[in-house]
Amino acid sequence: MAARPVRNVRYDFTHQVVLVTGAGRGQGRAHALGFAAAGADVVVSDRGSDNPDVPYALASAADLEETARLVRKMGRRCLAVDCDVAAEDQVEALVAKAVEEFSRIDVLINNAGVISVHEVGEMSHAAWSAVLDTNLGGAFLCSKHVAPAMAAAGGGKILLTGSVESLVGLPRNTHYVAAKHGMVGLIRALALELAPQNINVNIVCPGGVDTGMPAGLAASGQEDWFEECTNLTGPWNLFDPTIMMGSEEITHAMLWLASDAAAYVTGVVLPVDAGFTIK
Amino acid sequence: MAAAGAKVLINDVDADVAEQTAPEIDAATAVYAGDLTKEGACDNLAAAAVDAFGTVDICLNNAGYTWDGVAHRTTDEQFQAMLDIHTIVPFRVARALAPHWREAAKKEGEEGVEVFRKLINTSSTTGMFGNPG
Repeated sequence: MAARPVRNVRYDFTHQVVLVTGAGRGQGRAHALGFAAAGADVVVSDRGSDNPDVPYALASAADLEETARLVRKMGRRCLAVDCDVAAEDQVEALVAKAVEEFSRIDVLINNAGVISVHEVGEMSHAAWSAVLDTNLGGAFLCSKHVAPAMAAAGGGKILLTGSVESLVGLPRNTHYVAAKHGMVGLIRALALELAPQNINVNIVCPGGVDTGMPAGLAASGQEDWFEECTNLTGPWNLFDPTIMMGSEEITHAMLWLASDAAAYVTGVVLPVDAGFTIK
Repeated sequence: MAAAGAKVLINDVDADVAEQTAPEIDAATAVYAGDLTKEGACDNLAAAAVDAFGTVDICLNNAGYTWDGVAHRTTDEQFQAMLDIHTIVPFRVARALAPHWREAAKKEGEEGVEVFRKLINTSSTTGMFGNPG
């Protein structure tokens, strides 16, 4: 069956500024476009180059420029910044540029993430660190540097892209499971600490989404990994095992959590996984 | 729900309260009053909704109350009452709606249409973390 259209939901982020990391393609690009469609101006970042410890091609600088072009085509302003979220000096510079351009950051979406597949005995420390430093470390660094700007403006929303692997383990993914689980701890700690500043912190946990990440894994020789997972635990998508969700399904969760409709929702772990983790 | 354009059937254990509330809702409404823990009540509730509007798209299992007590003073009646309203009633409501939803989904499937009906249960943080009494 075809993917479901969303018929009856509208959000209004007019006058708000949204910062999305890992926005060169995939879910990050979808979030940038989704918030732009709701009236926001957007800051998009990506590292714009490959990582030697990640076995597939990452988004390029041209991909990030394309995201920016698509946002501007909607009539919204867009600032595109090269940034490796694992590097604190680059994160500081990203936030400084965003604040310089727009004077505010209302929503931060910590979306940048990488993956690889290794048996634990074969997992190099470099492969481990690449995933931990980007996925978990990046979310820490961006949240650390954005929170003061949000607090000064009276509040804000920090969101993280988790994973079903924030909740369950999957084979040959020790680093990714650890990082994605760690991101749950991160949001609980941050939600607690930042509530007095009116900052909500939540994590959305996608299941299988049709983006460059699974495509990259398949291209790097790990096309069996997805089937290995379904043999272990059942389908990625209970509604239709033959398709992965589109990124826009995750965007809707981000839009809701970033909206006034979720004013008292903080520290939550929201799976958007077509039923993957309920089995 | 009404503000978003839905037609609404409401239930309350207190018929007077339900009848008073219905006209306050700015939408097409129907009422099925009564204690849902009584035998047959959940079947009648589902039937009333289908009679009133032809179909049900969203069910909100919200009816509930607290009857707290420390464990050593909680009677069987108290414990059963909590199970009845919070667990058994939502199950019975789902069971009563299921044949309508299955039939409708089969017809829609033949027409190539997908309708995702929603069953929402009101739980509590107490259901996740516990609470004294």
